[in-house]
Amino acid sequence: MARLQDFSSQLMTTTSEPVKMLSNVILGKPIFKEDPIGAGLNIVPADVYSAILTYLNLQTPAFPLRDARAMPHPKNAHVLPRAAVPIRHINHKGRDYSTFDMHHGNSSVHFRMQGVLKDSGHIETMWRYTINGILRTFIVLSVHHDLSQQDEKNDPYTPFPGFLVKVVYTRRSNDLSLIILEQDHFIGHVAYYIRPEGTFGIGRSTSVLVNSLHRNRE
Amino acid sequence: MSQPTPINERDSERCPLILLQINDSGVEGVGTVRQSLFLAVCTLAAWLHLKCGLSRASTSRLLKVLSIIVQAAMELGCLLTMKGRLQRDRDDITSLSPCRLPNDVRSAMSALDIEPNILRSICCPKCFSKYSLDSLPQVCLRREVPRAKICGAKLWTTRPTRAGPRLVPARLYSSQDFESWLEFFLSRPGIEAVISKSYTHKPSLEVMRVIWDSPAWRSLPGHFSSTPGNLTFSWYIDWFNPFTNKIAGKSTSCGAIMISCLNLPLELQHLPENTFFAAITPTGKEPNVTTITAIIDPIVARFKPMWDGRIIKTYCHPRGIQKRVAILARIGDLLAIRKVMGFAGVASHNFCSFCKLRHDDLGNLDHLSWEFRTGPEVLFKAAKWNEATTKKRRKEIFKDGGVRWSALHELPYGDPVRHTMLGLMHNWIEGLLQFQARIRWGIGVVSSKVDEDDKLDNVTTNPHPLDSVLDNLDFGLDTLEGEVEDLYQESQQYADTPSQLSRMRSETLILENPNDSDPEDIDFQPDSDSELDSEDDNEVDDSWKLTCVFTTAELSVIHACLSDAIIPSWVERPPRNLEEKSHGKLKADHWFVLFSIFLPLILPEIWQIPSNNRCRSLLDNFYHLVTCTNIVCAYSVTSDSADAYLDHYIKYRRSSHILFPKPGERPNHHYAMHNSDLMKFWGPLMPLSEFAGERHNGNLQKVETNSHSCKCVTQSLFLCDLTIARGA
Repeated sequence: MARLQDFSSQLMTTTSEPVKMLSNVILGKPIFKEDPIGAGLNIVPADVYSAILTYLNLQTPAFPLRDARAMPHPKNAHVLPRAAVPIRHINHKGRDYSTFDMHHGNSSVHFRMQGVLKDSGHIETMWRYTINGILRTFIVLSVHHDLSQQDEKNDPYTPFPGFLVKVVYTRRSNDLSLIILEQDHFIGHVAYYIRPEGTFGIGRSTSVLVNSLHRNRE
Repeated sequence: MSQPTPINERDSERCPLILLQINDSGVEGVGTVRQSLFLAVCTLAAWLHLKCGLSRASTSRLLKVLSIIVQAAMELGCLLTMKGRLQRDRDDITSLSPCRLPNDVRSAMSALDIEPNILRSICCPKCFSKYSLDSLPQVCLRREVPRAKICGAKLWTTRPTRAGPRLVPARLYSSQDFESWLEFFLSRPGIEAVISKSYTHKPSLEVMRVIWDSPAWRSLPGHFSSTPGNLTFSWYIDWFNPFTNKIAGKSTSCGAIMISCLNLPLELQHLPENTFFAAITPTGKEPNVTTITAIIDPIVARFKPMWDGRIIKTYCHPRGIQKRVAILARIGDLLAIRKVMGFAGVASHNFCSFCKLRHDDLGNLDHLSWEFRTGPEVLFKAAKWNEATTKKRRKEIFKDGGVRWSALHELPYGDPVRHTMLGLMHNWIEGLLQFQARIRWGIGVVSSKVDEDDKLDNVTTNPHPLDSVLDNLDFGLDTLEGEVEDLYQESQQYADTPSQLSRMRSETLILENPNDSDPEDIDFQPDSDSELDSEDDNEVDDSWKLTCVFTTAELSVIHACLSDAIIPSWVERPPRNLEEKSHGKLKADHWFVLFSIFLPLILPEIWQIPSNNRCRSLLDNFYHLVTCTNIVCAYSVTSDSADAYLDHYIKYRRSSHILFPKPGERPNHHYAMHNSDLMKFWGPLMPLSEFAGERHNGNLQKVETNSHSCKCVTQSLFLCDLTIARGA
């Protein structure tokens, strides 16, 4: 976790028990309960809800939204609803982006976000809210885990930055580091190739990411 | 049968348009509805015919049936009206004439006014000189220079018709009127607002993302491109086979000249409705390096006065407003653009249109020592060539400067050096990348069983005689040879072919063509200087053997990567069996993703052998190539990235000289040295590459021609395409 401190405010992580639960929430469909209020609305998992609330309030600290669970609310309070529409697919600038369980390739993205050192990961879930009349999609993204300093020494790409390739540990569903972002933060997709443990002399399975698909489009 | 029920409120909700029209405006409303109905039917007929490929006869039948249906519906409407509350209008309605729909799709399209203004002229089938029907001689009387022989091609031919044989002009040339197209283009709502963004765009000083940021955009005199009202276009020319590229199919070619508005944002620039299809050259024998001028002349003649301005009716200015037009970028593949711009062929001593480096000095990497060409100098030499009265004199001038006259030189603002693009797709992607894979790495050579121990000492050796390379490739005669045949045919289209096909076979993917001339075209100046220049190239180096740098096991690892790497759905995965014959010809996009996505994922792993210097050198060489690819194919450019490109590219070429001394470099390798300057001048090169034009060519190929081989096919194809474009 030390290496992710710079964006820890947005990070939902990964200690043993909470991680398990969170992963189940993110990946396991049974926990989602249909909201009887309206079609397509689901109750947002508590951790995701908190992360979205934090994300929004960091953007507009002068007009913070209230946590729906913090009852009772004062009159005319702006409250972030607990229910949102879970979506699995969006189209951004002509490209399809999907959740990891829908399409691995379309879920692998490169992004840029102020204050966040990480720049690539997988889309795990997406939640659509209407806030102040504006439709906004919040993306729960699991960032890639960088190689340890020890393993980094074996990374054959280190002397070759022009390849635009990076080696990271392969995504493990029980060890996700999650952040919230929106589609405007996307730069493009990232192709990757999963290598078995032992490749490059690294003891864990790795993913080789190539980040040239966006070709520096605006 | 049930009786028709009276109109009630619910019915009026279902068809609000018609009823409201009648209720509000009475009989006049009926006329408006009828007009809408008429246009809707015409649009449907035109769409079915042009877009869906329904034949003219079937469309006409459909129109007749629709006419009956509409009449019946209108009579039913009258009956309902008579029974309803509009009883008072009964007499007026029934007294109206019935709604007459067109019986023929041509009438429908005429009513919609979507047909382009096609200009047809008679031309010589050999030299493409223009003639009028009134004074059409039996044979072409054109002389290339005053003292040359006449062309002598027959200008008339006999065509069998139902009324017996008829004498008709042998060849027609169709082009489109620019002014009428421009009115169509600017008459669409919203287009002027989109164009105006190019005038208000604030150029980025550091990162160039669009051409509006580039020095090229400011290179026309008097801040032309950024002056509101002025329109700046790009010129694209390429040849394609209207019968598609089937090996067993008919082989002929059409040259398509397309012009796109650079004032539009990139995503709109190349839509068919925003592209001016200026002309399609007649099928059959292609114009050569000298006769191409006759094809381009009429188009340039239409653009020349547009520099001074013309009054054009637009959506925002229906009474007309002055518009000035200029052509900035001239785009095409290496061969086409040389032919059009009057530059010498790729095997000529003066093989480069950007600098004066001689062909003998192809491997020179000291770019600071090169002498660069300038626009005025090229124009001066081209004018001298044009004024020469003998072929001999022209030949001398050409040999000295490597420049001929081109009709495009008549545009008073153009710079033939700076405004000519290199052609990123053909030069880099289908040129250098393909050359690296096929020739330098030898992917496609059937590897003998390689001893893995030997691999550690050296890369695979699989010696095959040069001339039997193709026999030993898995591509066999139906793929790689087909690819070579395609290239050969393409080269022939430009009359830029090597003198012997066998040489093409031996070097597989020749990126140069030593002959600008058409050997049969003896009446017109064969580009013999190119032939002279290419003597050295005709020598086949038998000492070089095509070998594959990868072992069978390594190729399997590459296959696995091609199969298993995870990519987004919009990326087209290249064939997994790169060296096998079953995949057919690889597209430019396949080569690009192969080198920018897939191979970087796996080759460093393969070549990660610390003790093997050759593997390390191969990896370095590959690294520089990929880095250059990532920079030159990016959609943004900075001065630093352009410099980095040049730095990596020189390192790539230097390492290639050591790793792959044979076969030697091709002119493409030299041309790519100029990409750095091109990026600094034009900004990102990808938006100005040939991809968009190739897509249009693909669409033109798909237009149904009923496999007619006569020249009329081209014209109908042209007509169809333009109509589709306008109707889109």
